[in-house]
Amino acid sequence: MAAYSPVLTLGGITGNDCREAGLLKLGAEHVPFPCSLRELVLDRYGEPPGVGSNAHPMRVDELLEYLRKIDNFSLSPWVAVMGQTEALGDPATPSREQVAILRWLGKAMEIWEKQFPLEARIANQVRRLKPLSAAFAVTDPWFMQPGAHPLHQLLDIIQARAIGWQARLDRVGAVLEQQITRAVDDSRKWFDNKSVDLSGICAEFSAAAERDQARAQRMVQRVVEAEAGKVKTTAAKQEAARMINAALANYPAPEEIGEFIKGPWYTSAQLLLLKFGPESEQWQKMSETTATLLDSLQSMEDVDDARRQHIFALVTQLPKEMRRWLLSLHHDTEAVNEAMGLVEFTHLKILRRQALDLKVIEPIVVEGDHLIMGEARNQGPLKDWEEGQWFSVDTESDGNVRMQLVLKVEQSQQLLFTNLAGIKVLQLSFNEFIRLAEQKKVKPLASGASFSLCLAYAVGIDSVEILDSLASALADNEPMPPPGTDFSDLPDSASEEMPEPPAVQENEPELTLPLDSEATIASTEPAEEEPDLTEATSPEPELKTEAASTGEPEEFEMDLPVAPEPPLRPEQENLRLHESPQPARKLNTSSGTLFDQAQEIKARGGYLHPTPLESEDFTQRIDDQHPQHDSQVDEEAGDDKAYLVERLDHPARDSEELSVHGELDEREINLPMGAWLGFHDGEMPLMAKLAVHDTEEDYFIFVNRKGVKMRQISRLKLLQLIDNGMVDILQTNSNFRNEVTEVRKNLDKP
Amino acid sequence: MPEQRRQHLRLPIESTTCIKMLSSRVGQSESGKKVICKTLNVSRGGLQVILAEELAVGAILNIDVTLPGTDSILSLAGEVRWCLPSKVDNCPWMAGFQLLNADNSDFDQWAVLIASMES
Repeated sequence: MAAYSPVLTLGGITGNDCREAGLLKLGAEHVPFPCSLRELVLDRYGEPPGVGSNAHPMRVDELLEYLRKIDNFSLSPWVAVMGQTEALGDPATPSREQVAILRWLGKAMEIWEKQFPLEARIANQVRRLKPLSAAFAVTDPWFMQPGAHPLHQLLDIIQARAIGWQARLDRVGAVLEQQITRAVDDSRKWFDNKSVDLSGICAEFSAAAERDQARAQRMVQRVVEAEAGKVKTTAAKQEAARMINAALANYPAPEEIGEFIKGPWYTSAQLLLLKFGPESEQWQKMSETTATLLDSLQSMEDVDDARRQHIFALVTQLPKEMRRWLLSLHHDTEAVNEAMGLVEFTHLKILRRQALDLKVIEPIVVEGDHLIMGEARNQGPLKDWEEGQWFSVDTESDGNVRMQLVLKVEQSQQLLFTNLAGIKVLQLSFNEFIRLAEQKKVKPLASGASFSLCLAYAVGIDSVEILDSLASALADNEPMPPPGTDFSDLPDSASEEMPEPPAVQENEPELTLPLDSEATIASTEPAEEEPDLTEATSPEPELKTEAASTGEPEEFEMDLPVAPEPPLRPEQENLRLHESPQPARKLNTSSGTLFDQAQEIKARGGYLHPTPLESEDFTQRIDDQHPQHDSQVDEEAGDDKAYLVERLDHPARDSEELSVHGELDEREINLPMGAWLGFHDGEMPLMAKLAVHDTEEDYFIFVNRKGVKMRQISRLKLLQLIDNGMVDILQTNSNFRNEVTEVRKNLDKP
Repeated sequence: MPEQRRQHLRLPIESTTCIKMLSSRVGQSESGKKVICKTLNVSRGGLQVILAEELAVGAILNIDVTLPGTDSILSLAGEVRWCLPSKVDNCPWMAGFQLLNADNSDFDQWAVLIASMES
């Protein structure tokens, strides 16, 4: 589907597809630019010298005052200023350079709002920075260098952080909205006090955004881990069923043995798979034990002595083997004995040559899994969507929802999406999502140095090649920008206001030629888009605000850029003309970190493939336990309980681990009551059910089937175990209420 | 325990109660084992039941209560503090539960309801 091609086009502005073919598009890694765009701006947006009159040049302080007074932020700054002068009858006009810069900025803003849309309320806040941007553009030469000015960086970061913001987030989104409002308010104070520290405001917002993002990422991690656990559990269920069904297909068995195999034995097989994986020696042995058990139950009639001796040996050995693998009953000695009693009784009957009623046992049917490996639809679009990508999805129930793809599970063909706060909002199969995309209900949202790049797009720089050409052209003769400008000492005269970098376009025809000779992103006829200032009419908005206020993107095609590097003043940033682009430091606002996170989890969970360390370690441990395990199962169960009691009696062990990252972990754990968890941090795996979550005391109590407390654990400790992959969520459906309702219904029946 | 030392007032309320004595195994569709019984008295922090089966002291179980005069079923979590033989033929055991302030339970609603009955 063309709409999701990685090629960046700025739809609806110009048709420059031919020129773009084969060119590398610009990304956040190219920001800040190594050169000023001033000459390109003047060339593209300036009236030809001599056109129009400037009999009454407007002083800079007057222009700034007009900009400060703008109250209709949907207008281009140029249009808004002219509207004011027309209304007042002020004959003064900005200089040719100023007009060109204001037009360029208006165009850049227009592109930015269309291509990187934020939802209306935030967009309205951010739009209040338009006059300030214009003020800097006409007074600060650094503004002409995309990504170099603190305001560029602030707008870039705001867009990247607010990409998932929606009014529907309510309290969750309120904090970010306040942060943006404060940053905008503080920045606008520059109009009254030129010593306002814009870099400081940007740094403060960035730090707050990173903190919130980190919190959201922790939430996302939980969502991802929970899904990884589900996939793992489902795969274990399938693999266990496959092994058992294969054995059942080969041997008939007594009905009660069939029930045992399809019950506790099947559950144990799943637990063993979760712990050791399908490649493990333990799994191999359990599979062999399953086949051996069923083989031992076959008729002894007409068998030779060797077979009889073999069965006799098995009958004594098999129960010990089976006890080893009956993980699901490890903490229920009575149940283990009951199960083994059944097997031993059946063996006894065989040894007594009593007839067994052998039946073909129906295979286990695995329900509810979604490991469907069947033919999918054309998954081309999915290749372009990586974890971390934001989308606006038109959902039937909630309208347009902004959500981030946090996990692509190839195995189960599932996509998981979270909102700005990292809370899961949607889970779809690949096919469902592709279907939505085909119905145009999915729109990718991009971020990453977005405003800085739009400043470049507005003069036609949209590829690395063009940028390199520009930089090469300026390399020899553009001076390094001087240190930061002191805005408190602005010149009064328009002729003094703009430090003029050396003109380049006249000396470098190879640069201007491609830009001029072909249609480019920016309007090639800016004069047509601006109001005719010779007529005393009210200026019209340059940009239809409805389009931006919907918060929905125009249809366009682009890659997801990575987040920008931290701001550098131009004096710090050498002209990197011949350097390879340096990887940008991620601001935790774009795709990189979540993608890495998901990859880590995949690598660690491995969908039934434990890490070598884990596997080796556990193999060693279980080997050490064999003698005791084989001979003293009951005692061992007692030891396990003692171990658990020991844990419960030593809260200090938990408190030692309170702070995982050196800070109080505020993540919540949303486990439903009755959820079964598998703990793997002890010497033996422990399976227990959540019975109590005391939110006041902040602890969880896990019990066995009979309600006996197996483990009491603080939230922080449980979080740590989850983070370390030592807990599997085996089953989360708690249906006690439903069960009770059913019981009540039955009771109420006459 | 003398009445004046009790933290909460005990109300002699008889209501139908369902206790889940045994949960289903992981991955099993069976619903576990439940017993229907009656409360003998209730308080904000606990309840006493009379039932046909012995309960393990210390067990934390799901308890489901419908208080008289209310339609809603309150789902609670409680720990068995004691379990003693009773003299009732068809319900030979009595047990005392301490209710736990568990998330996702109706503990708060329970406390409010009992408080309203106390006044």
